[in-house]
Amino acid sequence: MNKQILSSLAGLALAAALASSAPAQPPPKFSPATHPAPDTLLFRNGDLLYGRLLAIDPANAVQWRHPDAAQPIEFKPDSIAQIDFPAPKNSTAPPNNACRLLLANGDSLEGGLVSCDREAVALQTWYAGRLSIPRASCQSLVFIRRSPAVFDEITGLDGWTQAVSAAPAPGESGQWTYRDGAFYAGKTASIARDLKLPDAAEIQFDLAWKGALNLAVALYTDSLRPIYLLNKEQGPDFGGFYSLRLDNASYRNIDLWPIKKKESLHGLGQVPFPSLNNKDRLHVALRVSKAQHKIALSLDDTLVKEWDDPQGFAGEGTGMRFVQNPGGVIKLSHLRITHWDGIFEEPAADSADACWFENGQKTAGAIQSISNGKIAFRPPNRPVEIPLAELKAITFARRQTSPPQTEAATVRATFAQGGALTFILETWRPDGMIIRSADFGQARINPAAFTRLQFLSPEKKAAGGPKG
Amino acid sequence: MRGNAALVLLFVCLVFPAVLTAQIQPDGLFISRGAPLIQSAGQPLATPAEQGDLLQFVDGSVMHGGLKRMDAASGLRWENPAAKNPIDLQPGHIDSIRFARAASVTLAPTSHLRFVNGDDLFGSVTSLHDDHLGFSTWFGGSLTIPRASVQSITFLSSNYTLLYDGPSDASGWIIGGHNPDSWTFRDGSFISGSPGTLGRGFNLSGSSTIEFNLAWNDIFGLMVNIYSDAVDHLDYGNSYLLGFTRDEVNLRHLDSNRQFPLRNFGSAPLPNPAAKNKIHVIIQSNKEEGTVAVFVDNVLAKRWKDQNGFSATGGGLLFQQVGGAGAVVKLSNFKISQWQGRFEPETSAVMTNVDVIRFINHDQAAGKIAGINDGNVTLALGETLLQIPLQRVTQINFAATPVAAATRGPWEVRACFPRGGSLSFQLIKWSDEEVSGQSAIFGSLAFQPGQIRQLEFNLGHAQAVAPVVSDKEFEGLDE
Repeated sequence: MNKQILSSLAGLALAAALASSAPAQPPPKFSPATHPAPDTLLFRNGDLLYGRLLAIDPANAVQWRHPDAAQPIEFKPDSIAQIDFPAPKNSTAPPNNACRLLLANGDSLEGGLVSCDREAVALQTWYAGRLSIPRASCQSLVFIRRSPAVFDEITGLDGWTQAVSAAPAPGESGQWTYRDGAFYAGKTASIARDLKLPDAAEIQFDLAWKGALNLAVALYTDSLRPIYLLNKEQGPDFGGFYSLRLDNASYRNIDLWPIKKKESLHGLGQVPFPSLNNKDRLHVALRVSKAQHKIALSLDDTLVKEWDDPQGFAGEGTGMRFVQNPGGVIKLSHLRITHWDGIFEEPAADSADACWFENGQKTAGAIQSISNGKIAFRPPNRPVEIPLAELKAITFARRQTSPPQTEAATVRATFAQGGALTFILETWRPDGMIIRSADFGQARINPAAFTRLQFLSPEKKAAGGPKG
Repeated sequence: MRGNAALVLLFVCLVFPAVLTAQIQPDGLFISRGAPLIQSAGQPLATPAEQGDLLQFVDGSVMHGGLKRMDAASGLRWENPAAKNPIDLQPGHIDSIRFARAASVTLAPTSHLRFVNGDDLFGSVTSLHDDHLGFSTWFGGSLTIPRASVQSITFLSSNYTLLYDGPSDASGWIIGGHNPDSWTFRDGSFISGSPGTLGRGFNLSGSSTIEFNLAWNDIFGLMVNIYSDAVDHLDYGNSYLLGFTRDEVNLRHLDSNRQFPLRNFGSAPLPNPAAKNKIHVIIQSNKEEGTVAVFVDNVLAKRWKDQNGFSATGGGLLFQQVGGAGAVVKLSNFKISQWQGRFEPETSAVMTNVDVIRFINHDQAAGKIAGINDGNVTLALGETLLQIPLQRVTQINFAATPVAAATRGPWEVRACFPRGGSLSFQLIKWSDEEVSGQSAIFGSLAFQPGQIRQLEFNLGHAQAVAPVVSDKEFEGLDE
């Protein structure tokens, strides 16, 4: 019996074992992800390889396909720090009562709220089927009124307008180029589009750069051509817009400027962000509310600044413009624009359960149950039934029982849609991964749900795993 | 001492105005006036745990380990400590292998050959004829080379001595005591992410050529103190101080015995038209002529002449990173040589349509080189034949001859040797005992594996080069 046959039999045996240990409810069917971009394997010693993850057996090996190796490479799991995957194209329809459940340990899960009783909250997810999470582990639940994306992914130069900078910038002007879902610029270049930005919008994109980061992003602009600020009064007319400036070279900060014709230039406040100098990629998320004159900036899922424009919302258009100023080579990808609910602050947990209504009001009490799209709620006076559609969030009372411990977690995984989950990884295959969560036990998860697997070091595990 | 530190901070800000906006830490700069060499104030730079050789792919990914064997039939076998088994790879996407340990070869070269295909070798020219060149090499003895394959011959200065070639580890280098974390050594490079000094004594006494690669990620300031008395801090002893930014270089002379210890020779733009963030720097110090010259990627930035004559008493080399927060500077591929005489080694070659001879007085003559015999170069100027003593010649550039672009297969590699030189060849086999190959110029070749510092693959592959930040401030920019 040769090695290949043995390997196939071992694979079948493993698959059978996985099937028998999977959760009771029918596991979701997954098809292997077919990403054109490579996965990234980061070793604990700082080495890095591109290729494709084939399998993980934590007790044995991480199997990796490299374009120059005829055979899969087996790495020792302890030597691996992190694996990154390209963001998948999400084609799943939003579930009923879509929500994000924030757990006490900082994890979060997206899914459709199915039910809730005194013991557990049940979510229906596209990536793991139905999950049942103990109430004691739940902190809050925010409903996602997600409408189809206003703009989802850069697919080419069509529809975009390139223009030459009017500024006497040093060096040659260039153009943005398109490749594999991303725009690249190595010289001064401007690209713009009327993206029909909604009045309350979430704007997300990824940046990566070599050399210096020196990017100006125009928000809510009506001009597809760059505006030369020093000459704006003499230049063509334009409607007001905001200029978000990311600069790790000259000023080393992030700034937001309302720009209007015949008005002097002033910033709304800088974000000193020294760690920007040590990075070469960022996930940028902007939440904008025209009604509240607010723009919030998150970098790598961390809120770094909320700007409040005391003069009212300056943006008069619905377009965006990306202007690469003289600097390094920059890559812009994963641009996604969605409607947003306008909630800047996540509701905080209290000593009682609470329902947060769409109109901003809050009622404290005790959640009896959730089912059939309604919540049975007991405020101090009398029980009521509230349609979930009227709520924007639920907070769960802090329980006396301590939440499940995560000391044993081996992996922290980042969801493509945001949020993270810590768990013990039992196996990983392209068509499904088996995990064991301290909150909801064993589950089979579609690997396409995650863009990153971070293998926790023994120190982090000893500290109880990362929070938030 | 504190007053001196403040003075130097002012000096640095004048020299490196760009760093004024950066968050310079005043106590990040240490200087003493006329202080003796104090090595105890610093500490030897730690060499990190040996990670072995470094395999680099063209996509920028890297993997440490060790090369076990390699041949065209079965590819290369790489042993990586993180891998359960040796990894068999084909060279299609491999950029290079850098070997952690490479034994120095014994060299007493008198000339440096640059080849049309980009290779270069140190050795001795024994003869030159119409169609071939006699060249004595360290690896193959006296060889005959087709003249059409040679781009230039540079005649090395007398008593040319290579003092240092590396680093393969951090031994001998001293990091300033005030910021012991400012410099680290990794994979043949010194990397600095915060202000601090890195120095080493080389016993420089004569004229010298100091070469190194300099790379950066951001606005930076780098002071290079040559012929320094101290190697653990910037000293006011009698020496020269070069200040590099990404845009320019300036030269000053430090002398504590003078009323005004700093003499400024002025600055010059760095010849870096492609705005790269990695350059090759050559500093030529010519004692007899009293000059210091800086070349960037073999292009002269500036040659300064000290009218008082070359004046330096130290023999060390000290780098001080003074860049702002986030600036990372990387130094690698040092080659430090010493020589005597009035003329300095030519560091660049020119492509011309005729043969060109450069002389020690920097003059040059164009014509047809007929040959080298009996210590003379024969140059045909029309009908006239000139006999020129080799002692007066610094370089011969041969007229470019049309050469069909060679197709470079995956197994054509370029070996880079310790102490300089590189040679490309079709790799036949690499084993623990021997590296064998076939060169279009030299025919069959064989080396010991330890004689090669780096092996480059995919020689036709264009390396992506990131442009760097311009120094224009916000006022000049769009938006």
